[in-house]
Amino acid sequence: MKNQIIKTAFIAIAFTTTISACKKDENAPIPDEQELITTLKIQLSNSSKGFMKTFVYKVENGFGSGSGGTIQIDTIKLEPGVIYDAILSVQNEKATPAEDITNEILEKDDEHLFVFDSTPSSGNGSVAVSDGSKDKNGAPLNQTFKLTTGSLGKGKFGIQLMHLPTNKAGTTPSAAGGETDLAVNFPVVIE
Amino acid sequence: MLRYLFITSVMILLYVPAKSQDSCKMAVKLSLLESHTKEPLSDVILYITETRQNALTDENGSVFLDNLCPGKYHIHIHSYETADTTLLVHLEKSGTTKLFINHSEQLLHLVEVHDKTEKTVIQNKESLSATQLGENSGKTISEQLKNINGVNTLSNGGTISKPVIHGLHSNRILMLNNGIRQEDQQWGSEHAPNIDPFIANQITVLKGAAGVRYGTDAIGGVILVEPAAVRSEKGWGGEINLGAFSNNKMGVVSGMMEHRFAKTPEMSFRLQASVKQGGNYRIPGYWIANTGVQERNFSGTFAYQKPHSGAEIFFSRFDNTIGIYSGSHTGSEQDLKNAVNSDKPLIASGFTYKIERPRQEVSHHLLRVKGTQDNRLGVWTVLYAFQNNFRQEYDVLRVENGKPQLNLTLNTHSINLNLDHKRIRNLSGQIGIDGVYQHNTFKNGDRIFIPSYYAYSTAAYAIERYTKMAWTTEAGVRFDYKHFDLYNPEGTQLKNVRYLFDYKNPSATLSIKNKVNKRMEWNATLANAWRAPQASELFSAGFHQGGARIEIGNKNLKPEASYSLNLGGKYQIEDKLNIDIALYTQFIQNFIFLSPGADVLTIRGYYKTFNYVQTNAQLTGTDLAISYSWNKYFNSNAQLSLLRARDRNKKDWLILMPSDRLSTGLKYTVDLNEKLKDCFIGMQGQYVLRQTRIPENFDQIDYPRPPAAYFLLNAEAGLQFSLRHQPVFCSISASNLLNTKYRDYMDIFRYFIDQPGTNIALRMRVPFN
Repeated sequence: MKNQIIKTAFIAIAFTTTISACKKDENAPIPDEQELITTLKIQLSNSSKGFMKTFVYKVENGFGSGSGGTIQIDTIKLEPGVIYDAILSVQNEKATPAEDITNEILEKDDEHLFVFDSTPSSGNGSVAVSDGSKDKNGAPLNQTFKLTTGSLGKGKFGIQLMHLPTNKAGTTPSAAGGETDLAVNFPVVIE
Repeated sequence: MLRYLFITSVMILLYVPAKSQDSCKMAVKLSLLESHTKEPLSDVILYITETRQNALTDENGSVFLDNLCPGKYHIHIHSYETADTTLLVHLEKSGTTKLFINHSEQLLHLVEVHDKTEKTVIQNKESLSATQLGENSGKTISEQLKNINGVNTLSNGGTISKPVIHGLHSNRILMLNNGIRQEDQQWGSEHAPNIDPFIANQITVLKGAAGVRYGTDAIGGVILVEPAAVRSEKGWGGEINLGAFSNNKMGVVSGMMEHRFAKTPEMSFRLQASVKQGGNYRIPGYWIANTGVQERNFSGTFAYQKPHSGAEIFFSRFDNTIGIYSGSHTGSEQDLKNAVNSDKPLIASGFTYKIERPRQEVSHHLLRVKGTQDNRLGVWTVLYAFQNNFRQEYDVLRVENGKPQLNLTLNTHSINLNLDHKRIRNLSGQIGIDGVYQHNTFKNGDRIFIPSYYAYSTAAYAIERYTKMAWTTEAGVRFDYKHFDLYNPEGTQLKNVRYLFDYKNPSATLSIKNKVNKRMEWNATLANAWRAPQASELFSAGFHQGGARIEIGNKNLKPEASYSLNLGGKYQIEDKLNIDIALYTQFIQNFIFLSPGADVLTIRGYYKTFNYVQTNAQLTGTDLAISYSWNKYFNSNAQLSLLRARDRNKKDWLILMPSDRLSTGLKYTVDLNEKLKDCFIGMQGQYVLRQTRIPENFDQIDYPRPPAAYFLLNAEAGLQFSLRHQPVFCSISASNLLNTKYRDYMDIFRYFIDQPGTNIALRMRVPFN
């Protein structure tokens, strides 16, 4: 009677230790951050003034991590009352070599929209956006645009990239709708 | 030494006609009582010759037999060292049949305890019968469980939901599918249990901790999904179920056929399949984009049964695709605020069956092999199971690549060896050991979700029950050992770092049950259970799309330990009144939950972070259910469920706990004539209060405040008729009859959209023989 219990228990324990002793997988799978964006660059130029500069906003870990990693936020320094040509580019600099996501955005330009905001909205330290580029349907995309500076002062220039916006005519994230892929705030100094 | 079972009389005293009465679909409850003391005789094995069925009386001396044809049945009381004793019983109709037997004091000494793998421990419990499951067929298993007082759901809109028992859910609840622990609950709160409800003949909910018998993690309770026993008569049988739902234009078809071989009556099999397709669902005023559902399931059982031994192989496949409302995926805190502040869904939609990104494609395979054998010690059961859970997630992409962004696999092998030992004087019980091997993995290049890991666990348990007169005492102990071997991708290069965790824990339970008199009984259970932290709680480090927040795991988490006291009382006047009350209080040491941490800068702006932390929690509550039959036709019922969930360390309320609720209903049942039977019409109202017991810092960690109280009205009507001698059951039901616009605190989509509007369901069930 007792023997039977011991016998069966032994078999079961042997079974569990056998499966426990299976070889460990030394090559556990490695995940990848999907569609990561780390960097937004804005290139500003004015040919008559011979001005051309690129300002960088970079968060090393991009998005979805518990920490930001190394952060680089350039201050946009411009002259008052000048119209600059602006070109936006979006990158994943965590990949080697760095991945330029701008082409993907241009390929699916009907599914993307850049929207902007300036603090303050006018006057000292403000900037204004006009003549934004269009998508294949003639609706706003705003990957290139003209940036007009206000009078002397300090402010902030916000840029958001919306994915699958519900309203392409929207000029704020909430009016445009969709999912925010990118939301940055450059400090601006007009001097 | 031979002591004889002495049966002097068999009296069929009473039968209560019940619902289904088609020829071979009788559902009979046999109650075995001692003729002098009127004591129920529990743990007695009855063997029914005609159906080759073994059944063990429960603590009320009852056994439930399904799918019987009317006729004479020989009921053996099979016992060791004595000749089988036989009773001849006429069973003509469904209902309760009381068997009174007179026996010497030694009777129980001789009676062998038999197969009782699904036999539950003494505890507050409630079941959904085959009839109730039929009345709700086509709904998900979680939605069906809502009919049990004290059970709510945690949902992600109208398509994904999981059960909440006494405020606890996900990994704190165990679901046993045909005796096998459903492992997919490891995968977090947005993963619905992958069980086809058409498999079930009965679903039982054990409320409160039941870790000793069912294993670690059963802190909140256990849900037992039990299929019917395989066909007992020779020949073919089956059933077809059809359902149509108005809200999402969903159709459900389920078919089952079974056979017992005439030449080799030890052998029988059953095949079952179901298909479901639904489109976008509707809230008052709007369609919800991309919320379709498709489901294809099948299962097969093959059984070989002899009086002293048996074997059974069960295989099932569950396969579904669920669309996820894309408006629930928010890229930033601002997106979330926009969604919250909008009165209507941010994504406009019409109706379609098409499911786009984002969506989940989930499959679950289960293979289960069971063998039983009697010997001098008692009944031995060996249960082996393999299950494969597979989930693919298709996210919204900038550029479509046709591939899923997550391929999650969880494979589990488990083995259980159980001995229901022979009764020794007044003592019956079971001892057993468990072994589990588990591997969780994903594909290279997947989105980060849960690290890959191996888990090994072993356990040993013993539960003994002592019965004397009106008192039953039950005590159980268990020891678990769990080993985790985990590979967490870390650093900028995401290199795997190996972590080893070991958890060892004893647990124990003690229960008392007393039948005060014919009408009244009570029980008390002291239980202790534990749960090891899961991989996501230890290592999660990422964005939670639904809540627009970043969740950060904590690898120093200790296991949760629960200590609970459950009291239950029952007062019953047969065919008249039923009062059921349950009081519980549960102390959970090291309760794991999310607490707000520092903000972190991302390329999408500043984000709230939430860290997994531990506290001591205390959950106290009451479930009360009353049912009263005014006469033959009218029955009314009322349920009340209250819960108070406290953070003992902070002396504050716990977040995301179900609010108080009450419901009441009235049902009219009548047999119109010989052909139209069991006609019923009923109405049910439910009132759910606003959750006002929220943490003091609620506004900093969640927004907006819990939604307002709401009242829902549901209605149903049905009848049974005969079509060429085949009984046909038809019913119509309407949920949210008034198309009430409301949101529920336990729905993650409460930030974005209202709950589904009116849903009218037509159902038809045709059993055949």
